[in-house]
Amino acid sequence: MLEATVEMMSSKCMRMSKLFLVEEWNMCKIRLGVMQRRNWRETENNKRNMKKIARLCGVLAGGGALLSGVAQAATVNSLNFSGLPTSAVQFDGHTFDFTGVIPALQGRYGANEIHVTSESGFGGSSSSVGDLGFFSIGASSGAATTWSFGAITVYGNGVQIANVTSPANTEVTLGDGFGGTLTANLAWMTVQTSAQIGSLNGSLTLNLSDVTYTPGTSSNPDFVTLATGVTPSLIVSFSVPGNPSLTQLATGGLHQSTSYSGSISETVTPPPPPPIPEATTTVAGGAALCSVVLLMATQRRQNGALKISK
Amino acid sequence: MKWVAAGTVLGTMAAQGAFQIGFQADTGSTVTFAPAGPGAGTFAFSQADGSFVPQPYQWYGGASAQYVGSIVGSGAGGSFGFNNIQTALDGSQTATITTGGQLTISTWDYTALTGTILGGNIGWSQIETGYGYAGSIGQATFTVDLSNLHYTGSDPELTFLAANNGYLQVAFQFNPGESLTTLASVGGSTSYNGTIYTPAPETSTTVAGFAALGMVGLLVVLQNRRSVAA
Repeated sequence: MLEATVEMMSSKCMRMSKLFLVEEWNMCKIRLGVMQRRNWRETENNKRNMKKIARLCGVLAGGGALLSGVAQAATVNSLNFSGLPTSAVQFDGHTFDFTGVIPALQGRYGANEIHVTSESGFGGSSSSVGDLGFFSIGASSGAATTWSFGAITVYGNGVQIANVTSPANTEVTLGDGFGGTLTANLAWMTVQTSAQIGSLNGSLTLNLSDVTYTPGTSSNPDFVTLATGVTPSLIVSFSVPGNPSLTQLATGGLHQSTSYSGSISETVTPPPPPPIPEATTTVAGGAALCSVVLLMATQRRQNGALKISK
Repeated sequence: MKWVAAGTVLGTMAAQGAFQIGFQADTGSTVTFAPAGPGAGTFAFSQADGSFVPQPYQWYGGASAQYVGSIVGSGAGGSFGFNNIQTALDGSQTATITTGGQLTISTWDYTALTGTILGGNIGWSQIETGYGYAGSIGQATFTVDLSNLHYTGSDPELTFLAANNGYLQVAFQFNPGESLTTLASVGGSTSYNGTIYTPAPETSTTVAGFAALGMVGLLVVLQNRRSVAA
């Protein structure tokens, strides 16, 4: 608007100068100068406002995206364990187990096979570190459990995988240190080996189900979380030197016994945010509002330019 | 030489002319990854909490858990660095390990250290994470050549290892699985296990040795016959 007025005033001054109306021309120049300064200030203000609106839109969009991201971020709770000195993975044909006992340590660890060495998630808790556990058939604590695996599938990249036939009532048990136990059924398993860099590494995976926690004299909050949350899974890794493949492990008799470690984990996805307003709706609404404001501001500038040209 | 591992628990030894020690992390000991710039990361093994193995050791191993040991990198905080992450078509990843370190093993009897310490250089080669088959398997290994092993004690297995050098192999797992890219950019911590072993003699070498022995024996028999005839 002001730009158009300035343009008109400028034309008027030009005409006066051509007609040699000195006094009117001088007055016109003064008024034109004032208007030009006002126009410059208005233009700068407009630019600043546009920047503010754009920044606000950015913040709104970023905040919305962050809000949306936070709402969807999953939390992983993991109990990482290692085999006790009394335990190792032992392959014998198409079977394996976690047994092994050192008499000198029986008093210390009993029939336990694993211990929790570290944990992550669980809100920063470390209440499970040091807890002992074992694999078993049914509830018979520490009973030797042997798994069998079937036909081996060989992949071109050196990976070999077999499905494991697990007894229907196989369990993993963790003691809470207070006399209570966390138990879970081992639902299914695969065993695999790979030899991509000239060394064998293997892993066993299984899903856990029917996770039950019976606290002792006190309760372990990590176990409560595992028992009440989503179904956790368990992975065991082991390393056998000499590059034997799963096929070689399966055909070599009782010849491979090695160390292992593992992780029991659950991935918790928080429930979606309240339906009104949804994060995505908020972001969309904010973006639409910003678009309208930016459009109006642009149109105002364009209108001004149009009037100048007229 | 044959190390017999009756009732093997942590897999000490098995094959003719070679031996292996399996080891497992003690309580509190983890392998921890951390970012180290674009496309690069570090990993380090922390010491155990001292509840079973004495500090500053990290793990126990051997057929009777008669060893304790530690793996310490020469980087900041005992870390090893890695970079140059390569992704294979099957999704597995490898990276080059750029930092050396030290391996230390000592004998013990579950209550105290009982022997001299074996020390050696660690020259890591590669670290690898496998592709997540059958669910979200996240496992990885790294292997290394051991060199400059020195040992003045009397433990026969450590003496054998010091005389022959060997390999150090570590495996660990993340659940859900993690790629090297993620471990280098976000980090993570988990439990681990491993083996230290000497390579088994090559079959061809063994065959050649037996052939040479046979030739010498034949030669001796022939010479004896000639002597008798003369």
